[in-house]
Amino acid sequence: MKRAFRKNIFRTIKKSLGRYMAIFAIIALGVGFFSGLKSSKPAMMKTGQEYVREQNLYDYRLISTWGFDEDEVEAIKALSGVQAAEGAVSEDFIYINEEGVENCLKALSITEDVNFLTVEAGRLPEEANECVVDAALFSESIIGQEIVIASQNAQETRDSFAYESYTVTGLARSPLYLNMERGTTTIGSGRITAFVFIPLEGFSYEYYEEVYVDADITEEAFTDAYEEMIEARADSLEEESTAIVEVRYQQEIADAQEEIAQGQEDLDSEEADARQELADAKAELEDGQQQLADGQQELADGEQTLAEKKQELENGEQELLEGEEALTQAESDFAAGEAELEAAEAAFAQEEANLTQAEAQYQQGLADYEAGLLRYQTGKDQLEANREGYKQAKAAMEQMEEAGNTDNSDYTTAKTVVETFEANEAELAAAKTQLDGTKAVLDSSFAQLTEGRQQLEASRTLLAQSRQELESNRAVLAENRAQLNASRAQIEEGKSQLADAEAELADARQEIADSEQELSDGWTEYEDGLAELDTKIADAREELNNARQELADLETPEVYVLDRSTNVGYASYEGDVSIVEAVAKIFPAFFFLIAALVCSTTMTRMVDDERTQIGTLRALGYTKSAILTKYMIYSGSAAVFGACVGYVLGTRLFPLAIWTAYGMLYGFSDIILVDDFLLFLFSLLVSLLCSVGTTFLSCRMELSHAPAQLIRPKAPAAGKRILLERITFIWKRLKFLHKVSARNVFRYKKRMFMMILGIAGCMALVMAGFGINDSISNIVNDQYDNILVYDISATYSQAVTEDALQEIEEQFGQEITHQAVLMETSVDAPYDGGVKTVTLMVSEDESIRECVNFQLNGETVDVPETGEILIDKRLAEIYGVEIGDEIVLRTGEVETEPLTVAGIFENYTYYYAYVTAETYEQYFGEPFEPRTIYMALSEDADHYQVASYLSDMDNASNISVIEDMRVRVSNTMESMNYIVALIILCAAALAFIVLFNLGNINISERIREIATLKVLGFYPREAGAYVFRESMVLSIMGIVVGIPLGILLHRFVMLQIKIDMVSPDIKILPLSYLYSVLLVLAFTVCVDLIMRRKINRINMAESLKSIE
Amino acid sequence: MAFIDVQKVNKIYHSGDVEVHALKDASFQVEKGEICVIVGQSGAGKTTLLNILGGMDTATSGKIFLDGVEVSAFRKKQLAAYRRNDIGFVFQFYNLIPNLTALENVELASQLCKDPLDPEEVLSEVGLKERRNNFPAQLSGGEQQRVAIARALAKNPKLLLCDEPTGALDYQTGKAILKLLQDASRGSGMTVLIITHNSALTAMADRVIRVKSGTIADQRLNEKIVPVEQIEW
Repeated sequence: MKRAFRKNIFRTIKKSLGRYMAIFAIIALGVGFFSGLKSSKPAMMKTGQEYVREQNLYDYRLISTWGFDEDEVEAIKALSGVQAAEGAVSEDFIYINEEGVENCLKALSITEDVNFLTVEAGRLPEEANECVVDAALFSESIIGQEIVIASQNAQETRDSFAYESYTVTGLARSPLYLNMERGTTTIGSGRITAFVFIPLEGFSYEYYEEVYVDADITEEAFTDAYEEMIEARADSLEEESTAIVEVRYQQEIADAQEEIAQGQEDLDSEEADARQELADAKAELEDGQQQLADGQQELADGEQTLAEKKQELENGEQELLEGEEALTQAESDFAAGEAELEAAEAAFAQEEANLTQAEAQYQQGLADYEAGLLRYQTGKDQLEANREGYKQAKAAMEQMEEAGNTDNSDYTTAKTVVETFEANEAELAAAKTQLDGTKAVLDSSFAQLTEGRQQLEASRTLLAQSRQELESNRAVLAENRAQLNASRAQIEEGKSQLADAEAELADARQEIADSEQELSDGWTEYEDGLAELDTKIADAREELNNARQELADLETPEVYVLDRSTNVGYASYEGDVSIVEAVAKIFPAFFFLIAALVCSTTMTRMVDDERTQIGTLRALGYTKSAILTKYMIYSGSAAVFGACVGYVLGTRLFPLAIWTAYGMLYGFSDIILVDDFLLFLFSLLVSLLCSVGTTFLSCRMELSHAPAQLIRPKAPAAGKRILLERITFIWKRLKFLHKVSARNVFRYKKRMFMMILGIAGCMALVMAGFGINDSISNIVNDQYDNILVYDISATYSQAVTEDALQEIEEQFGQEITHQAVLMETSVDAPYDGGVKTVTLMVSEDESIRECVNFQLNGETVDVPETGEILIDKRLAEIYGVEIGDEIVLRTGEVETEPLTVAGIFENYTYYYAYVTAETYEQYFGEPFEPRTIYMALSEDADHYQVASYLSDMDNASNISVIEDMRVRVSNTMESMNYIVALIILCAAALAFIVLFNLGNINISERIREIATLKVLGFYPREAGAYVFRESMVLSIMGIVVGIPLGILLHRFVMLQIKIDMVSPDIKILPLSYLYSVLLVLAFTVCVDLIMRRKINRINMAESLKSIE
Repeated sequence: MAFIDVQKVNKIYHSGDVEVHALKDASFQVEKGEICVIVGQSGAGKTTLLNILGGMDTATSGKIFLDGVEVSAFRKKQLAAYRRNDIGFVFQFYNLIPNLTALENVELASQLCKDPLDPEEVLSEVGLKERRNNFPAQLSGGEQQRVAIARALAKNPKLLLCDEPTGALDYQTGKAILKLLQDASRGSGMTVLIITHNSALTAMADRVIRVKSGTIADQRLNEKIVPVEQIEW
């Protein structure tokens, strides 16, 4: 190459550095993007491989149904192809952290030859009661503290540890756990949150559970070749190790048989002894029985005698009673007779007195009569004496009467004498009559009295006789009484004797009863002893038989050989890492297309600019190829530099950014960058194709013209009417300058195309970037606002009781809007590519539906029947199942029967499945134990206050506030922001390069036009607008084209990006459209502002120059 | 004061270490309505003078007045307004906007200023009524220059500056263009300043200014104005 020619090239580059840089930058961007994305997977793969090799991750993991002992491990180690073999044990246990939250940890024994731990802080344990803990869960503050095996653990679990607590000496990572998945367990919540490594001596174990084998394998991890080698060796390893364990099996069978034989012998002799002893006891009992019978007979005799005597006594007593009764009767008769006699005697005395009195009365009467009679005689004599006087008085009176001389005192005296005489005479006559009557009465009384006295005397005699008789009776009675009293005393004595005899007899009876009891006790004892012996013998026999059966059933030991594909971290790594590669497919192609367009327009413009120079050179005699070479070197060198810079930056920045994004999942070591010469070569070739290829095409056209034509200036592209002008009603309404811009837009088709494509690409990228962000960040909201609508999940170590629910209701009845009681447990879902941990929700009723929305595309999913399961969409995608298909889940190592998928529901984070309690018990073989409560709270409720109350309740094991979970998931999502930022950055770079390049071309091409406008008096603003109205219109067209492109791109990217924890919902929010548009317009305006300065610097004098 | 009053204008260009004194103490006056021809050799400083008068450049020192306003004191923005409203420009290479039709090119200017003439009328006046919808590429050189003149006239400027308006045209066409300018001046009383290296054109001018090596060599009024048709060169 000529020196002058070379100089020309250098000068050209120097003069048009902006143009050169445009080619350089777009190529650098394209190559950077391409090589960066392309090299990310290899880099991550390499990082994984290095880590796995350095930490000497096991190749095989042997698990035996019999465990392994020390010798067996040694024997395995001695097998061919085995570099190292090491026994290990592990145990899952419950650990209560400082906040009192229950965690399930997995304790593993530290292995010396495989699975090296990386100490992140502190040191490895030196004592058996020390440990290192999971660096992913614990922070350095734990160092020095104790990990206590909580008392909640089953005795069995506690027994597997040699100590009750272990001092943390450091934080570590284990190659067994490449990602954050820690697996499932059968205890506690079912999800293991972290691991703990303890020296082997810290465990109390009989056999190793597993043996980690480091095989002689030269292939790198994660490769097919490695897998093939591993598979090839696996079968023989299984056979050989099974044979090793089988030796112990044979030994154990022989031991057991001997033991059984010995046991049988012991049993037989023992039985004979016991039976003899029982027979002796029986004989003794029978003797006692005889003695008892005799005693009973004697007692019966005594009783008989006693009864007879008693009868006799009773008879005597009866007699006595009768005698006494008779005597008493007699006595009472006697008393009655006596009383009668005394009454008669009294009556007699009375009568006698009466008679005496009557006689006295009679004497009195008689005396009275005789006195009367005497007085009558005297009266009579006096009267006779007075008769003469009377007769005179009478006659005197009668004379006077007859004379009628009655009124004188003589008459009255005469009359009184007459009347007194007559009255005395009448009186005397009456007294004589009365006296005569009295005399008669006295006479009859006298007769009566005489008779009475006679009778009385007769009665006296009779009474005296009676008295005599009575007295003799009295004597007889007294004698009888004395006799009776004597017999009574006799009977009383008999009675007393009888009582004594009876007491004696009762004692004898008691004695008999006692000995009877004794004897019966003796019998019972004997029977019991016999029964006991029989049972004992039967038991012992059964035991022996069981042992025999057991021995017969004893399974031959089996050894399972597992490889790394059963390690979740390892198995997921490859798949997760491949995501980036898929993204690398579409982006770079797009960037290279833009690069080709940029190069093409730039070089076309350059060739146009230097048209006259080309003509001159041609005229001077330079060949076409020489001239072509200049431009090819120009663009080619820019491309080579660009490719180099792009490659170096891309292959470093991209893996780093992506690794940072993945750091949340796989943060095990720093990324190892990988340089791939072929990739570089390919990038370079594509770059050259884009630059030199397009240069060749655009130059060849120019060079095909004759030199003479080239020397003359190229006629500027003629003005043309555009389609829009024909739509007059729009055209007429446009402002004049807008019309100009409209026409300018379509003036250069290629540039318009490039501009639209560039801006569209930029728009698509920005939209994809925002879209990724939307799709992922909204997952969190969708997940926790629309799917898992509960706010608190409270898990207890025992089934939730009615009382507890009552208590919660009383305390937070106001705050809780919905509530569901269920069982939440973790199960494994094995699928072709690995294993996923699934949260299985089990409930009896449908209340769970108020806390978890089972729905797909707005339609509610029905509750499953027994044997059916609801799974989330993500799981369905992984399994590739649809409604009606069957899936198998796993708890620990046990697989369930196939479950029919009854429905698929939307879910974005983790994996969820739902079955009814019935299905759970039948298909998972474990009891339904609803230990979890989901609670949805009202908006103003204080979640943490409720949570703190719930965690203070009995048996509280894990209270999680969804708000916390939301934050945690958000944090994970944030790692995606790196990728989003990277994409937006690239979009910005793309937009700048395209816009800047076009702006540059536009201005340099129209420098004269712009100068003229300025001379015409356009203000700088107007002059700028004149040019940039165009680029704005083109930008808007680009944006319009870019929107559908962006939607497609976003969809494509999202289909590739699937982080394990979340599955994005592919969508772009309206706001993101707005942001994308604004951002792209901002890029446009930004470039415009830079370009405006360039316009302002255009000298108006340019307009005066002649056309070159 | 004269319509145009240029007082001791100096213009010094700096390009690197080299100083070029393009104008030295240039002073002259032009009255309103005059056709003034500034004539001089290539590199004599006529274009610099035109640039400064047209507000496209500023003088290093000295004062310029147009219609009593001191143009030399204008800032950039004022200069743009000045160009916009007071000055009409006719370029040697027409400088039409290729993407606009003849009429639109005129409109482009007329829509800028405060008191424009009707573009169609102006275009009729320059005899291009029929071709008003043609793009520049479809017009001949003379026609393009007519459009350029129409564009300048449509602004109804106080001063029409013409930079070698016939430089790229053939003899006949050039004459026609000069006639057009003369008619425009005579018809509307517009002050027209024509810059040329062709001394023959001085015959049509009211005033002739000769420039030589950056100085005004001669400034006189033309006693005997010859109609354009009669000028020969």
